[in-house]
Amino acid sequence: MLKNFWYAIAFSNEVKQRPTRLEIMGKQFWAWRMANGQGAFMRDQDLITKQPLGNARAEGGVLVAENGQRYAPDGSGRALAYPVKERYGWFFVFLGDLPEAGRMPIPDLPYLEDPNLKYGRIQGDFPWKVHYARALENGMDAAHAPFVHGGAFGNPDEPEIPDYDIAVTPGSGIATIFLKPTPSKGLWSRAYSSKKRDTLVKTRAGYWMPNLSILEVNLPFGQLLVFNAHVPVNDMRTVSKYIALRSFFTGGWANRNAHQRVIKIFEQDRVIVEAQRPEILPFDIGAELHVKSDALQVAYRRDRRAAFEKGWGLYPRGKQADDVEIPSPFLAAVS
Amino acid sequence: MFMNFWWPLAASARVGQKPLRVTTLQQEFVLYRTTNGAAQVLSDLCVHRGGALSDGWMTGDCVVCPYHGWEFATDGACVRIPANAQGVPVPKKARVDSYPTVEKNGWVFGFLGDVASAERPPLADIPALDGANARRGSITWNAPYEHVIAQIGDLQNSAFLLSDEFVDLPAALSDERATNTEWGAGVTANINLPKRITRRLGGLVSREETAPEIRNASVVLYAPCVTVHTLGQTRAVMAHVPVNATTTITEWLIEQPIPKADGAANGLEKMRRQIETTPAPDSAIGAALKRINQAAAKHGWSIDSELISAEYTNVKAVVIPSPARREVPELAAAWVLKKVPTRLPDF
Repeated sequence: MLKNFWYAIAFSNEVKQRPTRLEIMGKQFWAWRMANGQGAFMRDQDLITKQPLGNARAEGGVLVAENGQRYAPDGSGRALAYPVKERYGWFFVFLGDLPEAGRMPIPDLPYLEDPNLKYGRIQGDFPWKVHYARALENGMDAAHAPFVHGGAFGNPDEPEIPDYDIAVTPGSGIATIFLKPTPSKGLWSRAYSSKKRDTLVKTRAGYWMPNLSILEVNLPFGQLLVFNAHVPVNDMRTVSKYIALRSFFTGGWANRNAHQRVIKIFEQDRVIVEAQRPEILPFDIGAELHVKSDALQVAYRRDRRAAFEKGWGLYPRGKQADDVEIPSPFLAAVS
Repeated sequence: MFMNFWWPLAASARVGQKPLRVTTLQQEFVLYRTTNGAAQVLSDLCVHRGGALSDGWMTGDCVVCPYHGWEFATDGACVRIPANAQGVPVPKKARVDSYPTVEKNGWVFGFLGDVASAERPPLADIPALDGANARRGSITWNAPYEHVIAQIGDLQNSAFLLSDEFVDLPAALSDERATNTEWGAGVTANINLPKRITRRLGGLVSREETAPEIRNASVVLYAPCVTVHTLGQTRAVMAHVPVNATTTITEWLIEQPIPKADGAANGLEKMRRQIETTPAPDSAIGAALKRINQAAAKHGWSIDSELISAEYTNVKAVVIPSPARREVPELAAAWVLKKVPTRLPDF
């Protein structure tokens, strides 16, 4: 787990005035919304007593623990608190103690804020027993589709991944890959005419540090975009919070079908990714063998490695540890 | 737990064309049969992304990783990377460890280690229990395998397991003899297992009695973890395979003159409490295993399972090295996955 990044950890509409308890990176937190709508995020632990806050409630701008102790979400209280921003429908928290000036900003994602885009949109959760970085690599991997999703969107007869370019910016890499198409099934086959089958499908896949991925499939009949925030619950569990946009069948009547397709794809991945060893994605680039088609995953691993070398690895041995806290920038400012 | 032994990894009947995952020595292995029926053991961990080959399938004689379709031949070399362009050679490093595999009398053995064949302890000399009366099964214990073997290898416990009706212990032993070999041991004795009989006293009147019955009993241990049991005409082979340092799976084959539907399952289940909670009896077989394991430790074959649990699990993949790591110098730099850590021998 890495500190000093903005992590998307929830959907905005999941965070209400009534505080919700969340596990992130193996620690318990409270997320809530203050009366003015501003989101707040705080560790569920009193810094002095080391006790959890119990059944906490929000009151004015503070969180009130079950025992009546009051905690301000700006570091002036007795609990670690973290900055919150919201964008794209996700709730981002800054986990780390880097001052604001040094922080890599929340990335500018394509499509999601385009007011002219009249796409169908769905969002949802996929919880699974995987490390978030394994989930992320899977979420932007074109090479596994023919084997894990053969028939759904991978073409088992055309598993070759042609050479591709990666657009690299600090903390991000987006690959553009031209793939042979797979005939669609079910509802979507109505949009798929036979004469379009020989057209190469432009596919884009990529990541933004630390936990966002995109898969963009330009089908002959329209565009499908799957964004994911892979929320690190702990070393062994992740909730992939997806936002899927489609340019076809944009009406709400097709949402159910779109959800089913996303979940079906995830379920096919679950068997494979949950069996990967080691569970935690290695920081050592040479720990696994890479081939040319893995260039995008290697770019992600280099960005992770670079953050680790800056000293941003929370857990020196790689595994989470109870005695390590995620430092807060507020507390650093106070002390 | 020790490398450089022929480990019994599965009863033959469980190994087929569909890859089978077996966990032993804290590591995962994949077992399968090639088109000619030969069994093969490979490390289950794909060198590319750590996928489990045992979740994959067979293409010809290759096991295919389910994640990206990499195809591995029986020698562990990857022969096809589907995402690569046609004509791009498969890198030398695209390989997994392949273990010498032998099938004998109903079991598939894998040599999990890297020493040359002359230095390897022998394969267990087990009898074939393939008659129509043979039954098989398995049981999982929350106990180290040494402890399971010390208990089940005890002659009286063994007789209890194999007897066709359960009798009160301790039963009297006579003519007890023990033998020891470098990589094994045996105990034999005559054992009095009173038999329940119904004596007719005339007319409709009868009485339940016990009558003494002397049968020959024996237990033979073959390193690393096989025990062969006899009691009169009943014979059993058991493989006590350590999943890790604290969990053991006993897989068994039993042949009884009058077969019981449950084979040895009922008797083993009755021993659970004793095996999992009481200290091992001072059995000759248990002592022999200790001696054998001390010899293995002196060879440097002891896997440092504590270090693996503390430092490697979930973070870093390690594998049992295969003979090719020593025997093929051209591949010296081709092993991406590191060897399991071993304990330095005590002197």
